[in-house]
This record gives sequence, C-alpha cells and structure tokens, in this order.
Amino acid sequence: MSVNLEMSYAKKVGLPEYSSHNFSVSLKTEVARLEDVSGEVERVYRLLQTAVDEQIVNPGFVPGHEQSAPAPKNGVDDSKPWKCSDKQKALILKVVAENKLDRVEVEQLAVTRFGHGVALLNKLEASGLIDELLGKTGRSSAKKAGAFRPFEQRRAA
Amino acid sequence: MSAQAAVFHSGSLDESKPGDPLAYISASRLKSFLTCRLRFFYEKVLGLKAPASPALQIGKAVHAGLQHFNLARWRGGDTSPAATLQAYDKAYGELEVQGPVDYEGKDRTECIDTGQRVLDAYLGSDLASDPRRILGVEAYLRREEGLPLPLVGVLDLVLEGNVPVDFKTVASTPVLEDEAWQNELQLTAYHLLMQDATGEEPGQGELVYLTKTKAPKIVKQVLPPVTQVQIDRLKALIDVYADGVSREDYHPSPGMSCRWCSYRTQCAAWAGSKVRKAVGMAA
Repeated sequence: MSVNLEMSYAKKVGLPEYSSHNFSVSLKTEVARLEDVSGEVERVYRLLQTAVDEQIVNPGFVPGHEQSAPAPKNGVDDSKPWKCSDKQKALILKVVAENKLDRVEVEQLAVTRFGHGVALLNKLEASGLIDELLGKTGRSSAKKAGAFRPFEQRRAA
Repeated sequence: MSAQAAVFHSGSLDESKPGDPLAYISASRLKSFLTCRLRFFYEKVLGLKAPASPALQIGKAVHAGLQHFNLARWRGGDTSPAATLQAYDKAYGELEVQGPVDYEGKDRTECIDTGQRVLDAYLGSDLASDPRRILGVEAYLRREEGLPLPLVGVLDLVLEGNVPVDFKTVASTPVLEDEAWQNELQLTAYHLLMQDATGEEPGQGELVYLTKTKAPKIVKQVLPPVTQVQIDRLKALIDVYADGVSREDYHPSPGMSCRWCSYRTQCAAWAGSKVRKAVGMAA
C-alpha cells in the first residue's frame, strides 16, 4: 500500500512601509510504508525550506523604494487602506514615529505575532500590536510582564 | 491621546476616575447602572473612592498574574510559576498603594496566600496548556457603529476560533446556570466587540472560574452561542442607559446589593433631585 503525502512550506517576510511578501512551494510525493512518512517529511521539509529561502531573498518591488514616485512624508503611505480602525492606524503610526521605532521591525513583529503585516491586521490584532508597542516603549502594563525585549530606537536621520 | 491609550490601563478599563458616562459604554458600566443608578453615579461618574474588599483585591491581583502568564505564553516570555507569582505579588502590592483595602478583620497574609493557591491551581491545570493559539491577551476593543454609544471592552484572553475567555475568581464552586445568567451581558458585549473587530462570527464565549476554596478548583464553562434575542436585549439596555444618563436620572435601588455597598453613607443623604448637594454634604 502506498501513502500519498502533500506538503507545502510557506514563509512571509516583512518589508518596509508595512508591506510584506510571501512565497510558498507545494509538493506531492509518495512513500511505500507508513513507517517511511516521518523520514520523508523531514527530507521534504528541508528541501522546501531551502527552495523558499533561496527565492524569498529577492523582494522585487519594495514600496518606498520607488525612484519615480515622490516618497510620502515620513516615508509612510497614509493613504493605503488598513483593515483596522482609523484610530488604531493613527495610534500605531504615532507610537512608531514618537518612539522612532524601526518600521521593518514593527512589520516583522506583526507578521510573527499575527501572520500578516500591519496594514492587514484586523481590529483585534491591531489592539494586540498597539499594546505590545506601548509596552515596549514603556507606556502600558505589558512592560510589567517583563521578559520582552524593548525595541531599539531607530537612529535619527 | 487615543481612546486605547486613554482608557486602557493596567490590564483593565480605567474606570476608577471620574469620566463622561456618555463617552462610551462597557459591560461594567452597564451592569453597575442597572444594579443601582445612584451607586453608578458615585462610583463611575464622580469616581468616589471606596476601600476595596479582600475579594476584589485578590481578584485583581490574580488577574494580573494570569495576564502575565498568558502574555508570556503568547509572546515568548517567562511562563514559570515563579514569574507568574512574582507578577501577582507585585500587582498585590501596587494595588494596595493605589487604594486602601478593607480587610474586614481578615488576615492580609491569608488573603495573599489564597491568591497564590488559586494561581498555582490554574498553572497546574490543563487550561494552562490549552493547545489553542492565543489571538489576544487583555485585548482592548471598541465598537463605534450600530449602538447609541461606542461599546468598549477589554477581553482577558482570546483564543483560536475567536473565542473570548473571561476569568472569574469566585468564593465557592460556581452554579453554572446562575453564572451564565449573571454574565450574559458581558459575554454578549464581547460577542459584538469580536464580531466588529474580526469581521467574523465569534466562537462561543468561555468563563474560567478560579475558586478560592482551601483546595482551589478550576472550572471551565462554555456558554451557549449568543442569540439574536440576547443581542437585542443588550442593545435595548444600552438604550435605557443612554437615556437615563442623558437625563441624569440617578436614583437608589434599595435591595440585596445594599448589604455590600460602600456608598451607603452618601446614599442615605440622597433626596430626589438634590443628589449633587447631598454628595457634597457627605464628602
């Protein structure tokens, strides 16, 4: 009896201006016995991860790096639609600006915590991000929990 | 300052200070108003401080311990019992500094031990290693549309499937049917908040009771799905709140809850529309 296996590996990486890009590779394979599944999964995982990593380092178009379009003020495109509320968007931008946080790091945090970039956070997720940002900048109770590394402040231009 | 930064403080809505009662509605404000309008006026509108009861003190500190634990699980911090109890102890001390506690003859050390036992019981339970992904801890949510006032809430924990979870410290083993009834408004409010925040249908709410018995028990209750009747009922009660507060209709509701009310002195001076003068006299 053969066993069919379908596996995919996906990775999402944050980019400047609260954007991100992701790439996934899927693969179908077959093993002869159930005992072979574990070893095959391990092999395919390594294979897919390597394949994705080799490609995802090429981000292609990166918002904010355009040559022709004038860069928006503060490098943030406020006209881009966000899924969270306008107030949450304003607060995120304010906390980032006031504390000179690294936008790429904030974007990466959103991807790590919620699986997508800042602009795609719903209100629940944005609330969680805001709380964490406030905690990291010493403005909320989250800091009391300790153990969380504060963001390094972005260098002034 | 934004709404979230303004009202979200120390893991809960900061309703201890005087505030515009029409700025927003929360389950806490609504329940307080419906229980006794005059008490609501003293507590939520004027922000008159009353000594905390031992139960409230322990409950808030345990809540802080749970907040630490769940945040640490979510964000990769220190989930050890030692770190959680340290967060509890710290919160206990800070709460005592913020406001007096009326121990009512109870021993302070025993109260602290009770909270520690409760937390230990939780950390040793299956719920502490719930395999569901955490989506939010102390999640501040605000719904602007579809209600006469913005609805605000801070959800203790949100789990995979958009499941709101609320922790309750209770004195004895809960009678689940009664608890479901008592907490209906809160869970219906959370349902509306989650619906708005995620754009998806929320999961069934869960209540986790931490009993302060000598051998603490941890009891999880999954509530039935929120019905349209419950939603309509909540909206109707918010209408009652908005109408009553707009007219400054704050009258006492003598009843069982007077037994543990901290505002009886002020209440005794109330005489119809002279409520404000009466408060001034009492103060």
